[in-house]
Amino acid sequence: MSLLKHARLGLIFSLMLLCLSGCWDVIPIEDRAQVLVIGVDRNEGRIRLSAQIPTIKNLIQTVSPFTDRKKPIFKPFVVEGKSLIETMQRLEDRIFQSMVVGNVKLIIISPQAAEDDLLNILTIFLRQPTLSYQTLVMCSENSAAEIVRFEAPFELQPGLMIGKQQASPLKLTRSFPIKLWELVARIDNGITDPYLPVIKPDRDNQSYIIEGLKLFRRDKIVASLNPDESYLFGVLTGKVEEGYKEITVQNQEVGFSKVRYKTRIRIIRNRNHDRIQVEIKASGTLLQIPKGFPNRVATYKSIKTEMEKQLKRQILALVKKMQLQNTDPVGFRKRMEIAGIKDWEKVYPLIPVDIKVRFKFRNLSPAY
Amino acid sequence: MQRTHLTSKLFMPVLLLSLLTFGLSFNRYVITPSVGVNAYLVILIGFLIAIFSLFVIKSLAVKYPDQTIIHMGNKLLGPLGKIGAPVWLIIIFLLTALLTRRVTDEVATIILFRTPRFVTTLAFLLIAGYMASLGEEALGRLSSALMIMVPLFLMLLLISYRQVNFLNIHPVNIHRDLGYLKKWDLWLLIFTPVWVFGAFYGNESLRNNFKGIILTITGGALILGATYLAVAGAFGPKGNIRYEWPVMSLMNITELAPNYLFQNFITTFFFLVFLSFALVNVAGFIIVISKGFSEFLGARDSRSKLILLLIITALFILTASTTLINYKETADPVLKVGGFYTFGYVLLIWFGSLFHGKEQR
Repeated sequence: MSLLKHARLGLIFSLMLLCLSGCWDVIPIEDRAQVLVIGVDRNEGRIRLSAQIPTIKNLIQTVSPFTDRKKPIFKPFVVEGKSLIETMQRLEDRIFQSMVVGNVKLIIISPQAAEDDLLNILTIFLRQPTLSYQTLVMCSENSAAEIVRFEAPFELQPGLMIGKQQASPLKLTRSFPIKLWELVARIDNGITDPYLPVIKPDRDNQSYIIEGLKLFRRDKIVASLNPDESYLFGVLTGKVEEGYKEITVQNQEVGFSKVRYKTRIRIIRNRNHDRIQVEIKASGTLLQIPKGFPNRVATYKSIKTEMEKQLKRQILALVKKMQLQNTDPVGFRKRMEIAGIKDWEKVYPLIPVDIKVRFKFRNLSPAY
Repeated sequence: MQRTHLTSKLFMPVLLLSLLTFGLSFNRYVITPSVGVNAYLVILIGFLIAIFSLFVIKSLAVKYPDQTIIHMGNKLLGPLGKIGAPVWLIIIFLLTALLTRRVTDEVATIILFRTPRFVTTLAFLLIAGYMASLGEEALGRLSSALMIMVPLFLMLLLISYRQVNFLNIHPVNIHRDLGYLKKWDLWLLIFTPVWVFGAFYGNESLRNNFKGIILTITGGALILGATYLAVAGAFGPKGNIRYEWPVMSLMNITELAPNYLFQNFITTFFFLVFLSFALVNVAGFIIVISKGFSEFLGARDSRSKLILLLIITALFILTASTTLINYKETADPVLKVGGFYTFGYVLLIWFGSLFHGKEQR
């Protein structure tokens, strides 16, 4: 064979050797601890790290004969340390398997941990080589370890299940997901503030409740939104896709289904009278109609008027709350900056807000 | 007289893939954090300079058909050409080393993080070296086959626009923050492959299919402009400087579908596309360096493979032995000098040609 052929064979052989040499540290899957959910708490100045590690045979529950139903679907580990890195090392020391953080699907942070050095905690995860930037981040109501330890008897790993729940479009009404990269980008840019959805265990139903939001000013928690306020936040940001809405008409509850919103936020500049204008176009179908409301045009008109009035009042109250706490997860400040308001940071808490709501009935209900 | 085996149909893919490689690798958001959100606009200035320089190289190609740039430099610049040419080749060598380092660092950090970096570098250079040993025609054919990756990359880019917050790239920033115009040279370096390949391989193509080459460069510049617009829009003016590889990070946040199965799908696909482009670029540069030095030293064809091997060895030693601090300290100055020198040297040869007559074929 010619020299060139020998050289080519040599090259192929060298490349094969290089590839094979990568097997020196191969670790079979049963010797890996694939952390799916991580919880970060702060307890008297120390960091508490909790990790949910699935039982390999039950990593993804199936009907296969290999699924071991007698074993729990995951094992929680909780360790404490001075810093996050120390706790990661301590966790590694307690698991016989090789810990893999790169597949974490959900990071849960307690309010105490979020109050101090949140950006540092988040960026440690962001720098993990294989960790997806699309990892969800949530805030626990009390302790993150509580969520990590809680086993909901579902057919799927909790970390995967919670993620699916958050991603499901029709469930986005009282809490909204935020991904790791977006959370960090909001803190870095310092104009539109981040938020975190709140998660807590539902012990009665052996499930999880994801409702409400924690609002931040940069990387510090400044306010909480209850589920109804979170819904309104979703209306302002266009995150609510379709949901229910109840209003009070003549002291009785009237409900709508399939309610959709289209929100437009503008900054109106007028010499020294700048203001924020929010225009909301809502549409829905009547679902709950109490007694005493006859099937007449006047009924529809009064319900429409009340819906517009009440929604306007509720949205205004939410915006005022955010202004009072000087937090803006909606994007008002960014729009103010674009509109040319120079001191948008100082102006934001005091700028007047106009809300306009237009409601229309989408469809007639099949029964009145 | 030396003839290149690259027809225009084979030359254009090499040019486009190399332009995209440089643009995706050496993004200025990382190297120059003060660049601000309007950085993508400055690509236009670099593009216009690149088009002007292509006219310059074309006029040289018409005046000196089938002559290499080394030969032109020696003939037109005299002693200046005898110094200028090897300096240029050394600069191309350094750019190749930087590109190799950038690509292998990305692979070593994100994918093969347990593999020693020198192994990744060695594998990369062996493959690129093998591609280079097959010659420019084979490289051209391979690039033509890899052109399928360009529409695939465009598809990924289009999907990534779902993550863009258009308030971050609102047009008011354009006239409000004109400081970016002072940084007109920011993207000059990404057009370096255009000048290098245009000068070394483009003689025939520039004469016969100039329009096609202009269109190729225009397409490449548009793709890169759209990429950096997406990066600025997704991460915001201060958010994008956090990421060492902003384009890879953009792909990492791009969702194909809200399903865990697809969470890293786009990043993996992007790596495939990017590595293919990078191998073509590095192999092309290796061919340029080895042929350039061979011609400069007057080496016979039989020695060219030895020179190729020496270049790959030198690249490996330089890339594998530099520390992270050395790399970070030298990358920006070398990239800036590389862009300016390449453009300047071509311009100098052209000025020299103005005082000489047209050479008869």
